[in-house]
Amino acid sequence: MKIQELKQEVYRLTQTTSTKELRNVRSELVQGKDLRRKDSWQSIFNTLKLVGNFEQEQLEKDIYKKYDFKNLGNNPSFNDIIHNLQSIAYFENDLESKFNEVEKMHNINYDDINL
Amino acid sequence: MTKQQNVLSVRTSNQENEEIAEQLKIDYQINKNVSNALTLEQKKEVLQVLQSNSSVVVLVNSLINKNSELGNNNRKFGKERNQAQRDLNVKVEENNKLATDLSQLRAEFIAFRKTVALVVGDFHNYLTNNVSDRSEILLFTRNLTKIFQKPPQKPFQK
Repeated sequence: MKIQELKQEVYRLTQTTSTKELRNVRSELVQGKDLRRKDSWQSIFNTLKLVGNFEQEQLEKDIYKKYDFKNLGNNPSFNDIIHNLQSIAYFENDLESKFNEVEKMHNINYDDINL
Repeated sequence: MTKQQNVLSVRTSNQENEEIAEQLKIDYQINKNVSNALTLEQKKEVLQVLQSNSSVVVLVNSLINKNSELGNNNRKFGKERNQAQRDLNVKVEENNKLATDLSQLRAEFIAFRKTVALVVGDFHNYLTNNVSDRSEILLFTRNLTKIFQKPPQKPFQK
């Protein structure tokens, strides 16, 4: 990625809009880094990606636990598959409710957004 | 001049200065914070010009009115600017909250997509390893379709 693309990704992932704001709100990420250099931005991006992946994994673990997904091996039983399908149904239901809440809270119509 | 005479002279001068400033304020609406910029002699001179020339009075009044109008505008725009700043702060906060909410939803949606792929993959393994009954395939596909048609309120009937 070019330095400008890295910057934009870092801004997106940190929800910032400028280097100044990034320094203010995420000082731990920029400490000791020369932000004129591409490798500094690459390093920040890699850190964020690593943290993001870790958080995503944690979230998925929590979701599996919350909706009681069964960890099936190579030879799953049909009943366990249907059980997990049911878990997906509950998960989908909650996800839709959350979309509706956000939609209501921010007065947004998600019908216009393609996922 | 003795020290006492000196003090008296300063006091008289100050008093006169104050009296003329008061006269400028009452007769010509020239505020003291404006006339303070003038020396006593200059105040006297201005007073004399005003008393003897009505055109200058008109000009001064026009300047005072204009200044007052500008002052009012300044206050009005100041209030509007403060209100706009408050509105902007609220919008920024709302925007940050929305970004956080969307980020959370995106993460959950990614997890959702993975779970669907996982269950479909498990069913694929099941079909590969077992001689499947046609009714099982129908049940699986029917339930999967139901999820995306309408969220079920009760567990599936097997």
